[in-house]
Amino acid sequence: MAEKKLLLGFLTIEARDNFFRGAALVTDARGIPVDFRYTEPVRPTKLERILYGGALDIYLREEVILENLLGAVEASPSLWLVDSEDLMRPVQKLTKLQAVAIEPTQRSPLEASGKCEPTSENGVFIFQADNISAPFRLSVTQENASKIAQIAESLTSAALDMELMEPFTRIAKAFEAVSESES
Amino acid sequence: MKDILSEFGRKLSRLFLGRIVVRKLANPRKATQAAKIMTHFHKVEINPMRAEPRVQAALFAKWKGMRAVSAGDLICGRLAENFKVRSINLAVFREKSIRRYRLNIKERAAARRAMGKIAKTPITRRNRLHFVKSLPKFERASVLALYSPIFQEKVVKSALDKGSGNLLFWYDNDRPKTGERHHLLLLRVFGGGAPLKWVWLPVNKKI
Repeated sequence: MAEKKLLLGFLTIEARDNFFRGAALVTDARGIPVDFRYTEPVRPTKLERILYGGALDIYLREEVILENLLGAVEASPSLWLVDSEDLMRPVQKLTKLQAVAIEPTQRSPLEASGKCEPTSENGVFIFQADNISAPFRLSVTQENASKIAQIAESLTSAALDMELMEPFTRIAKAFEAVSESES
Repeated sequence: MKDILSEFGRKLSRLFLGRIVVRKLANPRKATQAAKIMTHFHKVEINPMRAEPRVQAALFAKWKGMRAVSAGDLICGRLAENFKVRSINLAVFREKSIRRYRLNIKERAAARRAMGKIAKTPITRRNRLHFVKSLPKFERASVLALYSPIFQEKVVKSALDKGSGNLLFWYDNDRPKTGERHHLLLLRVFGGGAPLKWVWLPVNKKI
C-alpha cells in the first residue's frame, strides 16, 4: 500500500481598507503547489456595513470567504496552516481537518528540531521546525492540544524540504499578480 | 261720456289734491295668471358655480397653483367652464414604496482556481546564515548568505533580491526528478576573479 503523501494547506484572509479577500494554497511537502484558489475581492457597501454592523467582519471571513474557498479546494491536505488564530476554528469546522495557526517569533532557537514546548497560554506552543530558523508559535484548538506531538512531527518532516511559512509569502505575491492583471 | 268725465275728475283730484283711487282687484283669476306670467319672465335660478371651500389649509399638503381662500373673486371674474379640475400628483407617495435590497456578498466572493498564477510566482528563501552554528571553511572566501532547503535539480530560474537579501527561485513543477535537498551559499571571494560565488552544498553534509 502506497504511503499517503503529506499535503499542507495554507490559508489566509487579507482584510484592509474595507477590502476582503482570501486564498488557499495546497502544496506537497516540498512546497510545490497542488491546488490554489483565491476569492474575488469583496468590498462591502455602506448599506451592507450598516446592516451587518459588528458581525460583518466575522460573516465575511467565516461564511463568505472561507466557505467559498474551502468548498472550491479539491486537494485534501493533511493539515491546514493559517496565519491567524481566528481562522483556526472555522477552518476546522468546515473541513473536519486539523487546523493550526502558525506565526514567526523572534526567540532564540530551541535545542533540537521537532521540539515543541507548551506556553502559559492554553493551546499555544513554541515549536522548533528545523535547526536553521527561529522557532514558531503554534496555536491549536483545545481538542487538538493532545495531538500536538503528531502535528509537530508532520511539520518537522515538511520543514526538511521547505520553509514552513514561505507559502504565505507566495500567496501575497500571487495576490499582487492577480490585482495587476485585473487592473 | 260718464267714464271720461269721471276719469278727468280723478286726474284733477290727483294733481291738485294728491288723491289716488284705491280699487280692489275685480277679477282674482286674471290677477293670478298675470302673477304667473310675471314669475315666468323674472324667475331667478341660483346655480352654485363652486363648492364651498371647506379646507383652507392643511399641514400635510400644499395646494399648488390654487389659493386656498374663498373663491368669491374667481366666481365673479370667470365663467364656470374656465374652472378646471386639477389633480394632485401622488407620485411622491409611490416613491416611498418598499424596495428589496439584494444581499449578494456571497456571490461576489466566488473562488477561482489560479494554478498558472501560483506556478509563476517565485518561491522565496530568506538568508538563514545567522542561525547556522558552524560553517564550512572556504579558502579565500567568506559566506555572505545561506538559503535552504532547495531542490537543486528542480530549479529552473533564480534571482537575488538585493533589497531584502532574499533568494527568489522557480521550480519546474513538471520535472518528476526531485533530487537531493541542498543549501545554496553565497560567497564573497577575496583576491582576483569574480567577487561573488554561488556554492551548492547537500543538506546531508553537516554544517
